Amino acid sequence: MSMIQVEGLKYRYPDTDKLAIHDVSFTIEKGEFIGIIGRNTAGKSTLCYALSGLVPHFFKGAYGGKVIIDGVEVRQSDMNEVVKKIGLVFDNPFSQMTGSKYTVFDEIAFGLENLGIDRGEMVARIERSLELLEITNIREKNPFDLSGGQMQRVAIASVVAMKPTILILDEPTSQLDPQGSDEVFKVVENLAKEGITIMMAEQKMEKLAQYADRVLLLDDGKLIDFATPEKIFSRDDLYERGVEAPVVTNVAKALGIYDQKTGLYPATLQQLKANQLATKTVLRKLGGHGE
Amino acid sequence: MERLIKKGLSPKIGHVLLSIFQLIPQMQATMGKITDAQRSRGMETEGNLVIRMKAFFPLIGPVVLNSLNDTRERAIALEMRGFNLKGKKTFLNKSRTYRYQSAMQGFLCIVLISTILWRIFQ
Repeated sequence: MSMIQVEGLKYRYPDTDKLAIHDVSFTIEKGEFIGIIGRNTAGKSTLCYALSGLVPHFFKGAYGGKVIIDGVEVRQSDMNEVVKKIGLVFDNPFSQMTGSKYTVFDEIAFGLENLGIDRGEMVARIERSLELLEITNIREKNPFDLSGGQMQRVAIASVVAMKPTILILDEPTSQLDPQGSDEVFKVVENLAKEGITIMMAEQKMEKLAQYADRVLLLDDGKLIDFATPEKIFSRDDLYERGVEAPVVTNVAKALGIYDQKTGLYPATLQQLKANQLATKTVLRKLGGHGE
Repeated sequence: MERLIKKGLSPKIGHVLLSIFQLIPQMQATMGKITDAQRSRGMETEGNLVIRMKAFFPLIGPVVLNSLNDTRERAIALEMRGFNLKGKKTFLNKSRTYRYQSAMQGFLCIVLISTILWRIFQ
């Protein structure tokens, strides 16, 4: 059984005429790292809300189709069950802080207190999350005194401590500097290795190309493609769909460097290096030494 | 506050009371940023009462909208962290019982009642 199964999902926000999600279907297996890409208003956040149960439980509106998480349909189950399985992190770290906790340690405990976890296990889980996110050194600080990157890591730690089987991240690095973004991606990759299924809406294509197993391309609320990063970024219509392919892919396209077997352009430097023969040939033609 | 929640105060009321102390300074900081933005576009924000009143109204819109947006996002975050879960909650911090706690509580109750009576009958 797939971890996430979406069948003909449609959704329209209240008081609007247009569908934010239009007939989307796909399946995701346990432990996969999935990237969600598309222009602003493509439906990425709405899809994240639908997967996390906020649509239709929190956001009302017209809803059709099915979202099945680990065999249970989200619409039929209440939020009590959903929050035990799914964690959601979004772009603004500031508004993810509860506001009622005065240390990072207490902030992470908030969700566990609501779940009714006993104190011993709660402390163990918080310690583990602090270590995983490498924020042990700020455990006694007030969450509102932290930098954006640190605050975002606290937000992820708070969700991870609740031990979700699926972690959904809606542009979690949009307000972070390159170093902060890198840290978040590494942490998320480690979580995927631990068996947590990851869905991440993101605009940083280089990072997704590097970390994601598959990428889901949305445009105007419709699912355009769902495939490996190389296949998605090799598409010719990406720019028209409001997506900029990674620099590596654009350079490879300009130079005509592609995998001879699959016909796909490389999406990462590693893949470009794997195509050494083609790279050398092109560089030799351009007058370089091919090294 | 946690002790009051343990004794039966609604966690929602407890949360609101606790978060006010942290969120109001954040709102003030946002207000400062918006004031700076308005000022950089030539709006006069200092001077006599009339000038300050004129500067105040354009400020209210962005501050309120910004706060509403933050509140909506915070509500989503709280929802996803189980704030509305039914069932027994647990607490990270243990309640400590101090040596003269009952005596202090009794004393403070007497002070409170005396103050109210004094305010009424003075």
